[in-house]
Amino acid sequence: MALQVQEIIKKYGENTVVDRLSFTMENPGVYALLGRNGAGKTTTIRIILGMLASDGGSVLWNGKPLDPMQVNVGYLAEERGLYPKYTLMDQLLYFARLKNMSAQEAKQQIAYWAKKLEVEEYLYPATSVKNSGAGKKKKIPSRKADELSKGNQQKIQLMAALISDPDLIVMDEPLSGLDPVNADLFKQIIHECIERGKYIIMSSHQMPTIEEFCSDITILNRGQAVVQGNLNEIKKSYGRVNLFVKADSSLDPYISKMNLTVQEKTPDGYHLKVTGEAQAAEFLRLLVTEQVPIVKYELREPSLHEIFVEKVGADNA
Amino acid sequence: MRRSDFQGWKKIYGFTLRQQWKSKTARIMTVVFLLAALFAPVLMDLFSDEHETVGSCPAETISVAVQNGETEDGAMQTSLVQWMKETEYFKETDLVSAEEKPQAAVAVTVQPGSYEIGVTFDPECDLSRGEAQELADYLEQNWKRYLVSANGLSPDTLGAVSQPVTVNVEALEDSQNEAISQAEYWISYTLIMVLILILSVGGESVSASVVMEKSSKVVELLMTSVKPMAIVLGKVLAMITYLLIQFAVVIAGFFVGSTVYDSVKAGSFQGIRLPEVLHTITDGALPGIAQNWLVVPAVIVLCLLGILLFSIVAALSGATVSRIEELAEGSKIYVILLMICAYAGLMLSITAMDGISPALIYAASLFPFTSVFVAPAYAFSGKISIWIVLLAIVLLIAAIWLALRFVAGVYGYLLYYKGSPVKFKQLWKISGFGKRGGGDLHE
Repeated sequence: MALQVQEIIKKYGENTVVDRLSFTMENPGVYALLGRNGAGKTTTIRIILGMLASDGGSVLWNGKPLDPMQVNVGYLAEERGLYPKYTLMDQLLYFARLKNMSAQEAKQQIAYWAKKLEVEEYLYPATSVKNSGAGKKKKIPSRKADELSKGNQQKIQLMAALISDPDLIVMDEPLSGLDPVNADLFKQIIHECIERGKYIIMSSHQMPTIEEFCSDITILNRGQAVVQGNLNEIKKSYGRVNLFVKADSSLDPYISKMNLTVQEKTPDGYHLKVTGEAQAAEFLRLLVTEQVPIVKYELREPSLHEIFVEKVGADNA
Repeated sequence: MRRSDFQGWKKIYGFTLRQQWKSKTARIMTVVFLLAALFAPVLMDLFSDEHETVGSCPAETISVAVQNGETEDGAMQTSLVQWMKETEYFKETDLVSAEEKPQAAVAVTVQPGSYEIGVTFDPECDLSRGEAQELADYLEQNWKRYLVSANGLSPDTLGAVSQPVTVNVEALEDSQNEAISQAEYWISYTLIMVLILILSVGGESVSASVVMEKSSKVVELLMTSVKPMAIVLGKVLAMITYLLIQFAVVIAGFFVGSTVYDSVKAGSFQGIRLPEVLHTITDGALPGIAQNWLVVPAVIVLCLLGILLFSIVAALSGATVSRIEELAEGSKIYVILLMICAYAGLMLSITAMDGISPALIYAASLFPFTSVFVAPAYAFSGKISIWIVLLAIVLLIAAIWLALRFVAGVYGYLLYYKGSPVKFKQLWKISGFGKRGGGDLHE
């Protein structure tokens, strides 16, 4: 299986919000779409899923135009939604039935994900029998969406996206609005999906999350891909130019002597910019020669955050 | 349009209908409507003009005096007392002289061209003002009965002279075809009013149902499984089914109520009874049905399709807005269209049935938005043939198909639209009928 996005274009009047965007997912894994607000990430996702007509280009799944009616697709939209007044069980069964699942299959999947996401108590009345006095037991129906917290609603929405065991999963800002505990729970689920060999497209502003999951990325700026490819290769192409040094004495004279750029000076140490590994090694030799007590020395590639700020921040400044 | 565009509409239909019935408000409303329908015959009878005062006179003792000009009218006094003695209402009342201090004194004054009835009551004798008023009202309402009796005529005579008179002015030529019978009038009038009622209430429910997915932001999730056509069709049909079931419950409740009440009143209930309605339809009072009974199922199909067409237009209101709060603004087109077509139907099929040009009748009976209001009346009266009704059905089906495409196109295009209400000329452009564009309408 493979997903190919070829030269898609979307215009609103004179404004081009997606401009000849192409990328390919040949293997299962997570593909990240990054960009500032309004960069065209959600529009791209909606075009991929056929919800928005493009003004050019195509989206192929296994070489054929992607039709969500034919391909099993799961979608966690940026604008989360559930029917506020309907019971959660009714809604999940409905979403599953729309994916052509049998009632029994749907119930099995709901039970599986409810346990994983720790929302069983909201879905199963049998486990929620309360004593209503005089020895009588009152059956509590499955909860309605508007009775749940935002985090729990988000879990139900993730269940709705995954219930049909989709081949292609699209997640638009999956971790936004979640507390750290629920964010970890969601990450576990994403890891499980990766292990199961799913194709996942993820849009997020949380760079550490992208670095944790994604093998390939596209950074969008004003609808155009400004950085694209394998994340490790992108980082390598920048070279190891970030140097962190922590010492027991001031490094200012040595930094001046080598004419290095200080990105940030914190009580913890110095974040320096070097031209490459050779300059970093020369700086280390200088510190050793001058017998500076070094506590920590780290030469590393730029983080995704730094690449993102450099590519998108500078252009929008 | 492809087959996959409709994929999943049955599931949407089933889910929407089930959830509608599960709603507490819907269930309460149905019970309220059912109770109102069951007790409607009783209320109709209570407020009927033909309702007769029943019960007995609240005064235990009454004296009667009749004055004619300056003198007492002994003969009339005797005949009035005699009539009161024979009347059920006064059977527990003693008619006494004024000297015996009765609870109420009835004084009748005969004046040129009128009668004046005075009731004097003694509050110390356990008779309230209200009870005295009730006695006075009874005498006023039954004074003609007394006069008929006093003049030696039977009570049937009063019924005979009180019967309503209706007049018809007809031209000599073609009088058979142009006259509108009372049965035709009531059947047509009732049908149009019922349609207006269903479409007014139903339009709002349909548009609210269609906007629900956008309002609750579920629509994006749904769109990975179904297309706008399936959403619109499923939701519209579910709401129509719900409304028709509710309407059937009300009608059934009314006829059950009237049958029960009629049996309690031993057949004297004056309101609408099911056997009479069925008799009117089948005994030839409606010439169109007498000529060809297939007119009845054809008109039923026409009405159902008409409701479907208007419901799809109502769905357009839901398709053009993103939140339920904006529906009032979005419903303008539907409300205006319904008003124009319903008024046209009323004008053409009832108030002006005589003397309308046949061309106008055929045009209104065939035009999809007016046919549902106009064609039934003319089909029942035999002024248009069943073939015209069938042609109207075909045109309605075509209009439904086009309307569905139009609304589904608008729904799909405005999926993410959150701006000010969309104008009609923009709708035409974005529906897919015109050149696709209007990109500024998004977000």
